[in-house]
Amino acid sequence: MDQQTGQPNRKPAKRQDATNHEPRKASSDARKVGSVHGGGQAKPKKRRKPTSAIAVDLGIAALILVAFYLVNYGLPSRTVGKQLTDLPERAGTKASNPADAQSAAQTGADAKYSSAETPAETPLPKPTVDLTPWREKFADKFTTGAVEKTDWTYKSANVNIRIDKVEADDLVYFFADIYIADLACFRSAFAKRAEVMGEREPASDVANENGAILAINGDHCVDNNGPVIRNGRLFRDETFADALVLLPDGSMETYSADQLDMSHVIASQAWQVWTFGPMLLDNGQPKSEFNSTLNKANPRTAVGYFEPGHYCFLVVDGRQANYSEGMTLTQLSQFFYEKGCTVAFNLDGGRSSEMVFLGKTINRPYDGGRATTDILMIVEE
Amino acid sequence: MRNLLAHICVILSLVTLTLLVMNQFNPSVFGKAFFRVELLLYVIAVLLLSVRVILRGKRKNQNQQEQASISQQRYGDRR
Repeated sequence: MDQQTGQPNRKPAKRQDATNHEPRKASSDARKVGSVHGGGQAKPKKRRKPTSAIAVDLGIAALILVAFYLVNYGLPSRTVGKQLTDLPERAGTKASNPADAQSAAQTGADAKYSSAETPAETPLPKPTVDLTPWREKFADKFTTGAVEKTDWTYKSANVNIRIDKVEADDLVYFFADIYIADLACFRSAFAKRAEVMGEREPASDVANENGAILAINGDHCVDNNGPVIRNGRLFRDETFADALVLLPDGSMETYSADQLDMSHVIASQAWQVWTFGPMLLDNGQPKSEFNSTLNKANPRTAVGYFEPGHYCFLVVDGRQANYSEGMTLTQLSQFFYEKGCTVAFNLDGGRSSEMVFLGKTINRPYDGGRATTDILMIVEE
Repeated sequence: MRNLLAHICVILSLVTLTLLVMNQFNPSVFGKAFFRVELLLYVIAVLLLSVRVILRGKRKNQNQQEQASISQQRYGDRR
């Protein structure tokens, strides 16, 4: 008792429990309790709901994906490429012009393949193609100068094209049989600016801007990885997926990513290299397994090779009920085998699949088609 | 701030899963440099988070054992 006031002493008695042995931890626990339940003297702390934290995470993930899209697909990354003759590793330069390259191959192809610059341990394969000038070999296919054309055919002194539109049950495709007198007639072009990779434009526009007689969409190389050589210019030398190489002697070869040696392709003065794939024939035989997961029926674009100077383009419409479902890769492989091709290669399909003949799109692209980055085209020399 | 690493893991795992699906339709997605960097960051974040969780678990066990031995000393004598 307080002697002056008569009140009992209110000194707090020390707690004699186990928590006194750990005062720091006890106070920390008290803070925690106070913060959660709003009790005690600690100021109640605002807590975010876990769902809002997850929503923020989702938002950030979405932003990262948008950035991924913009970096890889949205923002144009223009590339002008490099003429193969300028490359230091190019051996025994003969000509940048494919026609010259072809004549060089005809007169002294062996020199190119056995030159001192070629590594002795991995020699390039010697050309085994018939080097007879194509104009002589396919003389009956070309005119003496006049141009004869119909809705489905084109014949001139340099080019012969015949297109077959085939309609079967739920399948419509367009097969173009092509003969050319000179490799310079077989060209590629990029959208908007033919020699600059990185733009997008409808295939029909690209074809018309470049005076194409016949054109199909290419491998959409801007958005895909893999090697790119167009009209003798190197744009990308990375190996990623299957590749189709068009050599200066007019022959075509396909390679898987692990088989492809870009230094050899460059040394052989490749005229065109396309990627995407997969390759559809294996030594001229049909395949049942492909380097692709997209084997179900789809709109398809593919290119086939019979012999130097004789090629074919195929565009299959698909994903359109009561019109055309498309082709599987297995069907595509069998198709080229039955046509007698020795090499065949799948290009970008789906909405991209488009064939343009004499300025008009002749197939029915799925969903109206889409802007493409590049085309393969047949032009007058 | 304490859970930042966990949130980074959540974000990067969502991005990785989305890119995985995209790669089914366009096989070049995994070849992009962006994906390689993202995957590297994801792996590092998971590694750091895992190390942190393991160390924290160990520390917690040690504290519990210390507390148990102290209280046993105090109350064990009285009994």
